[in-house]
Amino acid sequence: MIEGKKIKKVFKSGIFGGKTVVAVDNVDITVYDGETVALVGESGSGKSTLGRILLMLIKPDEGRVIFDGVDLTKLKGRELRRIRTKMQLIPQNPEEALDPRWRIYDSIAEPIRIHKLADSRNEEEELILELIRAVGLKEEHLNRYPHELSGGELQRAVIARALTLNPKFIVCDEPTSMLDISTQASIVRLLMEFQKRLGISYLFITHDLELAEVIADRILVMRSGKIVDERSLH
Amino acid sequence: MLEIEDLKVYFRTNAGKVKAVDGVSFEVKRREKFTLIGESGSGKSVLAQAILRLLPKNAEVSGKVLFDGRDLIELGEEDMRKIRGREIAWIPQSQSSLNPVLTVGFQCAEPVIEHFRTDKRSVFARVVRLFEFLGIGRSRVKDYPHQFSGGMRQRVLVAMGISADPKLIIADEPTKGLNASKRSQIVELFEKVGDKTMLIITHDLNFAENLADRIAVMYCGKIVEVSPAKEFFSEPLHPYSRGLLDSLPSRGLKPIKGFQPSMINPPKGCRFRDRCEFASERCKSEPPLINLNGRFVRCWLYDRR
Repeated sequence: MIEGKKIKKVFKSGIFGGKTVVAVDNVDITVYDGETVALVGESGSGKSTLGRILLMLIKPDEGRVIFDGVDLTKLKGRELRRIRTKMQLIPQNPEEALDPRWRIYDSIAEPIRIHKLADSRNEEEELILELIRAVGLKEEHLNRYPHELSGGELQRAVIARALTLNPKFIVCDEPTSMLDISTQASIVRLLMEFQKRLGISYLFITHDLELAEVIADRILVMRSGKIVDERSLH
Repeated sequence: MLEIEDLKVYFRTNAGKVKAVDGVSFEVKRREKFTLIGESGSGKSVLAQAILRLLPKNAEVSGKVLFDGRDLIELGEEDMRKIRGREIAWIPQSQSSLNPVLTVGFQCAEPVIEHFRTDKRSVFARVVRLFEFLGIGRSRVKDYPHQFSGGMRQRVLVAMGISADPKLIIADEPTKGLNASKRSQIVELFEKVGDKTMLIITHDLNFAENLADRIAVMYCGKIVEVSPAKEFFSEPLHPYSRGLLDSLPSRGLKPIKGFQPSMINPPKGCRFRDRCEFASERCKSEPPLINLNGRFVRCWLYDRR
């Protein structure tokens, strides 16, 4: 379970921070285990900022982020890094999510190497093959570079990378808004299938209310940095 | 108005010939909003660029593009320049189509200055009227593109497209990258432009449903269905059209199995065959475009011979 309590984030711009934008304004949010919460709102409503704060990729100015009973805002670099294996981000634009000069294989292998999950090269390869089959890619895709894959294939690769560390919580930041409709359907189905199998909880950021209604257990509506509406479905 | 006959666009690449548009025929009638839908890589943007002859040099184009009786494929570059912007306008995708160092007012005036050679004052008055009509506001004529939001920029592009009062407007993905609420504004905007003949290219099915008179579906360089919009959304004919509609969140979010085939080496016969639940032996040969009471579908399921 992940919880944000009284989260506030102000962005300053201009010389001496003359202009300020309150991106997230005193927000309380909870995502329970195995739950899909859809965060809907227009661009600029602060939904992506809130998602990144829950992952501690952006530090909040005020408030706390509590993940499995641990207050993440109090943690230091190394402890935070360890906990971060349990939380992942699937960004909107898969082309920017992967290093263009790396083969898909290396991009997926990177988290395994950083966190030393495989004892040998063979073990690493086995892990990766299992993952990419699970997301519907083929072995041949691994040797390619990001520009040689279609949008849907890339997003599958990004999902495979996010799943390497067996996360419990994933923030999906408009993962399908750059994709075709039929590709969107297959990517969303894939994400739902993993949730059922692995019990992951999702914060699904989208501006597509129809999509939110189909996939989410709860919908939160965000406007000007505040959560203005909450609705339970199912 | 616009008649396209057996249009083919092949690109020569190192890997082989890419058949981006492969034998497309259709007709856009006067005052009709004809919408071409298809997913990325289906060839719909290439088709539009072929009409305006905006393709790179390695494209081999054959077939006919008849615009008011003239074949645009045969025209020289000089004659083509007189048609672009004046008779056929192009409304590009919104991201980067405006020049960042020129005011939007000037960019909207450019087609008028180019084609009519009238005095500055009347051109300016025309642009101001257009800005008011489209809800941009007259005060913004001297602003630069970066001062506009995505939705407003799209309005500017529409203003630019219609400033020289063209006969035909071709719009390429006018809702790409816009929010849901902005999208409905774009629908209103296009309705305002009203009685113009339009060829709209989009993969946004909701947008198409709200705007189109007729819908053509493109898959892998071929048109697989042409239907009036209402009938298309209530009862799509081609299995791909059905699959596309069923993958909408509001209609079940059911993906189409498999992946889009390679354009260099597409499957022989029906190109949707490998992903189709109704595929049979027959589909190994190319299905004809079958006429069903004014609707057209390229599928053996509808062959009653």
